[in-house]
Amino acid sequence: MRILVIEDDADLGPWLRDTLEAALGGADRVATLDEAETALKVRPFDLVVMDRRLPDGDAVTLIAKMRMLSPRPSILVLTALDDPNEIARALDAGADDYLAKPFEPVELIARARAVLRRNQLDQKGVTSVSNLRFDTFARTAYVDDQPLILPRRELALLEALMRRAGQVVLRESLDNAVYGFDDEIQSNAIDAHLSRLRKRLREAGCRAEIKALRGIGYLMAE
Amino acid sequence: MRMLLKRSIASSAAMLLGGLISALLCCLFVGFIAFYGDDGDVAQSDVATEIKRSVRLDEAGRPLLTPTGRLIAFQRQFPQLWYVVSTPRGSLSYGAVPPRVRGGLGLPDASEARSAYDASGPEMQLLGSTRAEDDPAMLIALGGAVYTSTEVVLSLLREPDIPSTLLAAVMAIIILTTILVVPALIVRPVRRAAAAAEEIGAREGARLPVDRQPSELKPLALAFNRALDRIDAATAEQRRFLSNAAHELRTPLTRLRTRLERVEDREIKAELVGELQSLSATVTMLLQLARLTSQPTEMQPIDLVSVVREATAREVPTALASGVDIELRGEGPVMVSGSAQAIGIGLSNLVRNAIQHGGSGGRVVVEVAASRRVSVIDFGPGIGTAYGGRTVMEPFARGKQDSAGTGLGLAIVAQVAALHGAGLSMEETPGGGTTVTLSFPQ
Repeated sequence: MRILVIEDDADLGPWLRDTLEAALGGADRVATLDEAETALKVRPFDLVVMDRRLPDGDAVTLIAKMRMLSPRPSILVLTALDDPNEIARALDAGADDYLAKPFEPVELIARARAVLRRNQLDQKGVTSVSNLRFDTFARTAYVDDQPLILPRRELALLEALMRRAGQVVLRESLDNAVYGFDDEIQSNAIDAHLSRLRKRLREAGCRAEIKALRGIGYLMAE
Repeated sequence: MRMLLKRSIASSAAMLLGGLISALLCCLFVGFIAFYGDDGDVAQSDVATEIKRSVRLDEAGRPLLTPTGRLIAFQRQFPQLWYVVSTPRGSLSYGAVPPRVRGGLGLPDASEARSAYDASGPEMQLLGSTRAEDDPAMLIALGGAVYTSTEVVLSLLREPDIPSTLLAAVMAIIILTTILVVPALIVRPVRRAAAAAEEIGAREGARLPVDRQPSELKPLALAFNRALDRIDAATAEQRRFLSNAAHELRTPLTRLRTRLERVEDREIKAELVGELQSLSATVTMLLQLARLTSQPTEMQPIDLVSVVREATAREVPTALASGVDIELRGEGPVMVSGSAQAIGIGLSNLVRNAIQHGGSGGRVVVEVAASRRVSVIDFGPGIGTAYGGRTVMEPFARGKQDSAGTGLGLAIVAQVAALHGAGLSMEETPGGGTTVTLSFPQ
């Protein structure tokens, strides 16, 4: 795991590097856009944690450039600008997520893990929560590396939840994931599928848990 | 006049035109009365008509007079009036018939109407007129009747003929059209400019078209556009200020947070981190409040249920971390006109407040009713009676002094409500706790 921290602040920069290195391993820190471009040319990075405002400019242009790299690093933007339009600009340019300053160290690590997980999902088709792993290419779920045999609709449900693990998946997007255009959606059918899926996961010894939030949606939690 | 203009340019223009036309008509009327005198022919023509109505012939062909009411009135009105009605078989007369007429004015020969004037004096005076009525066998000679100016007008009004009625009707139509159409034409560009200004609304960068304005309105449009320039510049400046302020406040807070990691004493560290977190929350909410109050909000039709669901979903991790169950009730769509972003910010603050202050109840319910009401219900200790009412909705007011939170959350919600013309109320949840309700207008 290789992490690049782009942060000009003399306190925050080294702290970010040390904190991320302790939690995820191998981090470098640069302070300007220029240095960042050089670093990115020298070696590939799995994760880039970056500030928006740098001494030599707005980092949005760099985000767009990094999207072209192969393998593409996961990008987590740290921003002191909480204007929703500014956040949207960073995400549109290709950032995977943003974190508003100031933040708690645990939140930083959790977000970093989440973007890495999503990037891994994009590139390798694999995502995991606790001892549950889902391979989207093979469309197979594993608990402790043991494949889990699931009916079609339960598999689709699990995939939708795993793709957005740690976040709330709204009820209607689950409906869309499980049922096709022509399928007639039965109310409560999702709940029935979910309760069977929960039981199967529990029996297989899965430590990840599907939390139901009435009226809102579902969430795959550790 | 000034008061009239304040009411409406069109109605004052109409009243002004109406007044001017009336004055003009009055002048014409007075002039007509003053200068149009009657030298006798108008009055005598009227009297002759009346005489004709009063006369019939007996079996022998002699004229017989049965005066009509009007003829009697004429006789009373004109003391000098005389007349002679003659037919080949006989004649009758009234009043002091001048000797010359009596002596024969060549009456029997007269076959058409004519007048006789006395030209001996300095002013010509109608001596009498001879009128051949439809019956050429009957001649009427008369004199001594002269209308005053007023009587001429009254006589015209009394027996309107077709040409004068038509003329009056055409005049009335022209006057009415002038009064109705001219003010509307004058006001049209003003109305068009007002509609264009209305359309600009809260859109940034939009301006009134100046080229198409009439020259009188051009300075107004230019001044209006200059004012918009200033507002846009101020908004941009405000935005720049806010993002600079955000940067300048958050960067040191972040730096401070990283330094706190080096504090060895766990108890002191936890306390300092808590203080820093509440300071950070204050900064975040102040910036949100500033953004909501300073920037124009674009209103669109939105589904309250889905906006509220997304906002609630964002707060789920906080709820789970605090061990609070969160639930959304309500079937969509419930359409309102509003800003999804602003409502989302308001809802996030309400839900966070409920988790923070009412989380001890273990449950927070968000409810969207078809009547466009959104309620956030907690089952905690409640806000207490001392702080009921509006005060908690003002910036920096808190339910309890020792409680966490900045007291800005509800001020933000109140601002969001004000932006949407929505009602905001706070009441005790039955069985304990607080219910905050946003009621959007119908």
